[in-house]
Amino acid sequence: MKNNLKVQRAILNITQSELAEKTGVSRQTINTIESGKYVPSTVLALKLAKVFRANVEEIFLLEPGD
Amino acid sequence: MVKYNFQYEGSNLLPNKARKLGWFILLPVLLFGIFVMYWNFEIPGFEVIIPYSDTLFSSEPAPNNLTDELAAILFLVALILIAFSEERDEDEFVSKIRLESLQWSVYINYGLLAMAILFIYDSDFFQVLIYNMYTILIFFILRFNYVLRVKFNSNQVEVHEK
Repeated sequence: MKNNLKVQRAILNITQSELAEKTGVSRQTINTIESGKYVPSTVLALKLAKVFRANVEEIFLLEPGD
Repeated sequence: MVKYNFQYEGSNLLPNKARKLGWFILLPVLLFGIFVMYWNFEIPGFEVIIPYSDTLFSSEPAPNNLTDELAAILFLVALILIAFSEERDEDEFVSKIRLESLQWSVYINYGLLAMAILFIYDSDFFQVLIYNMYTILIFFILRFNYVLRVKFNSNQVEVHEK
């Protein structure tokens, strides 16, 4: 699964810590999601989408093989 | 201080403070355990009569000093407090690492036990069994803390990203 969290974050001009705070997780979690090491739960994906006022599909994308 | 609100329903973890308590009592408890195990230290008079003492020649009520039981349980408690307390920033990622680390430590623990079953016998094997009561928790604590605090602790990374 790919994501463009970093891009979305740049658009809003917020840091990983700020995003973490807004979604109630640790900064490490945001970091590992961005680097593709961790796939967030549906709840967290929805929370992230809410912060960016986007649909989940605009942030998280399936890759071939998923 | 950041307030985290990503709580898990039905999380069976101990409160965050419990871990500090665990680390605090670990060293004294460990020293106590070592004294008991290797120098047969016993608290004088700390005894109960157990219903039977099943030795080779008799099976009758006998006194049993509870010092070794106390040491064993205290060490267990210290390890449990350290192992299963919430992180200050407990969230789903931490949860995942915790579960993975637990599985990893079970594999390692029983892998080592299997080796010990094959290669170690008699009273030496009994020693192994005593260690083995705790190694599963010790391996878990080491692995969980390593992954969380060393492998994924990239505090430096973010400063440059905004």
